[in-house]
Amino acid sequence: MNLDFTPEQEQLRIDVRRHIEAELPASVQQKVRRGEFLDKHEVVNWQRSLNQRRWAAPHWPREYGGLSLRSVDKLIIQEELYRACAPMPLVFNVDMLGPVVLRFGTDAQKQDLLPRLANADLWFCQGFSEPDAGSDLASLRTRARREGDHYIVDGQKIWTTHAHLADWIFALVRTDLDTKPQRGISFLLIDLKSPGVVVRPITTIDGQHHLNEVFFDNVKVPVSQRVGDEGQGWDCAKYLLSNERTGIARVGYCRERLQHARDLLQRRLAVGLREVEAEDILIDVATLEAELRGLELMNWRFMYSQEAARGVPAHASMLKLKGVELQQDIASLLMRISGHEGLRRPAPQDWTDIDGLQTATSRYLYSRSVSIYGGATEVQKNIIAKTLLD
Amino acid sequence: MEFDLSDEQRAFADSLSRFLQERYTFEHRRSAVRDQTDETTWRDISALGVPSLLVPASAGGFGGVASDLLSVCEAFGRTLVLQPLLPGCVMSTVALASAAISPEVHALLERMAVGEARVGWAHHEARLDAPLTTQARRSGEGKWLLDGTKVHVLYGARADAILVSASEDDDTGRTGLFLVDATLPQVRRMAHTLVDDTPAADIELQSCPALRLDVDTNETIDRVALWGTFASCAEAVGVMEAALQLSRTHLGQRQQFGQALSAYQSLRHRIAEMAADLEICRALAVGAAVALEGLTSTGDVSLPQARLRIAQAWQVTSRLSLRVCETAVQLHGGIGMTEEYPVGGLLRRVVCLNHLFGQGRQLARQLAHMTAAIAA
Repeated sequence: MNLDFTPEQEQLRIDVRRHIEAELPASVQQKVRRGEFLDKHEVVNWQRSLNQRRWAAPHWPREYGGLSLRSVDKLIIQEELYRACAPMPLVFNVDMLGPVVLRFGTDAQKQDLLPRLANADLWFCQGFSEPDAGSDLASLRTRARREGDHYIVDGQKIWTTHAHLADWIFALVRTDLDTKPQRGISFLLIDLKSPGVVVRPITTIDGQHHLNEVFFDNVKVPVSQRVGDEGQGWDCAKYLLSNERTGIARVGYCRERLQHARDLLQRRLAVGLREVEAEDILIDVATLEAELRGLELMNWRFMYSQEAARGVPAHASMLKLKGVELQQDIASLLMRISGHEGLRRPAPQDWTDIDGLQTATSRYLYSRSVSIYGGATEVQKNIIAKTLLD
Repeated sequence: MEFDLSDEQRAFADSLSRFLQERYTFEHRRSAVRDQTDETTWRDISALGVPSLLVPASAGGFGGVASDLLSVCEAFGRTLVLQPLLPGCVMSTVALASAAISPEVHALLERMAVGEARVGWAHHEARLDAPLTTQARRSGEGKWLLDGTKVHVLYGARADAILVSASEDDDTGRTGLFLVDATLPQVRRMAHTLVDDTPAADIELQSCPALRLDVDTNETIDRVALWGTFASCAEAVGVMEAALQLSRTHLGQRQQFGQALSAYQSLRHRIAEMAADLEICRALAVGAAVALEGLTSTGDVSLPQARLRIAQAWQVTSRLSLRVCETAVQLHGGIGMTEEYPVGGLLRRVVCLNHLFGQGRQLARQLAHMTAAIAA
């Protein structure tokens, strides 16, 4: 047994770290650290900078702009990005849609889409959830009728993260009403500028605009924009959801947040936080660091040991379950550290002048979503229990 | 990175597991507790080579490392074996191995390797967080004599020899580690049983002749504690495995309101939580083993770093193993409360381990201090 990285892995870490130091604008870094929204061009420019080194989609094959990196090596890149508060490459582009196109797409789709996804020339959002189809995704009702070489799409998606920034949406739509629910679903790529598409903001409990509703009213979508066969959408969705496991535990993110907690605590001490209170908080930080170490080791173990991964079929659900618990506990701790500083609700125009203390409560509030999206905690428990009891 | 056991380690783990599963049944354990005797198990696990694992090869042992111990402790945890693995084959062996150059210690290690000698570990005293009250002084002929009382010496009543920490009654004020022949009349042993059925003894020494180990005592006691904590992490993983396994079986078999308990979502979710807790602890135990190995062999882990890694592992494992075993009792309902059913024994075991190796907020405070010390 050993927990050593190879010299090649250490070199990759150094290379990524140097690239970030040289290329990441300090203003972007500060925004990410305090949780402020980035301008679209900041996200896009950063992803292009990463893509020049093939680090935007490093797990893709070389012929499509990646490095065919194993997930354990991709994790090293992710951790360095989190550590430096650099923006992640667009997850819907490179971790969700990209792998689906690679697996189910036509050659033409691969040639056309993959370079643009990696380079953030196209920004995709995800259209899965609907008002009556949340955790029970297969009950979705957005309808796509075939008319010649087009589909006509009618319906509504909800909780669509960043639809207001995105150029396109990949959506699950119902193409067949007469078969069993899973078999009647197809996977469509839709230009959000198409006539009949309306995006409306949803303000969340943190007072911010992350989420949207997306309405489709007689939207014309070429059949060539379907990925996979008609009726294969459910397979695409399952593949997509099972595919993104590398970062599911978000270890690097948690580590940066705990470092942030230590920094904020110093600042609070400077303005008169009592030593005894600070000591109490440091005990909680140390406890969460121990839990984070457990999460990191569990993540590594399932990535490096095929035997471990095979022995625990629901390990991705365990990583999600434990990862979100920790993220939420850390967000609570940060809020506790911020004290009264986090009480005032920041108006959007205030964000540039404030720091991590004032945003801690907003971020705590939004952190409640991590156990809801991407397979709610209760769904993950169902998945784990099924492997142990049925 | 490598998280799997070697083929050799796996083969050893499999044969030990199989042996314990077949021979060390819960009924066997109950009768051992009832009759206060079980000589066959020690003989058999000695024949399998368990006591030799950490004995240096020069003394006829296996000269093993932490990962060699991992699956052994897990197997002991799964079956709740009442044998002195932790104090004898781990803690005392680690302490004696660093003094193996002495002919007496070397000879003792040779006997320990084949199971002929069992050595207890007597460090704790009744007064918490205070300087040791057990005193070591020189007799007229220059031999060491010990006076004092040690508490909760695990398997102390049947040990052949005991390692005792004592403060030396000279100008240095040093602490020393001393080897005592447990059968001497100057050793008074008051046997009792811990809540998890582990036999223990309070040990009173009166002008008891002893051999001082030629080791850096504080470093050795520190290292023994690290090994003990690591072994507890690994054993707790085995206990949790058994708790999960018993609960899965029970939920599948027990019918209430016309269906198996395994049909109820609230109970299914408890099983899922237990399984996730177990996997976290399993990974942490590997991390603790690697931290110990880095300390002893290649030397690329510093002592404070290893101490932090092992303390982190135990901080999480102590809490989660308790939670898992409490849940297992809950899922079993009334039968889980009975002494004749193993699930309560699992809970009793982790309660004891938590008392012995630290738990809760106190442990977390130590963690915070360790982190601060490393950062400074």
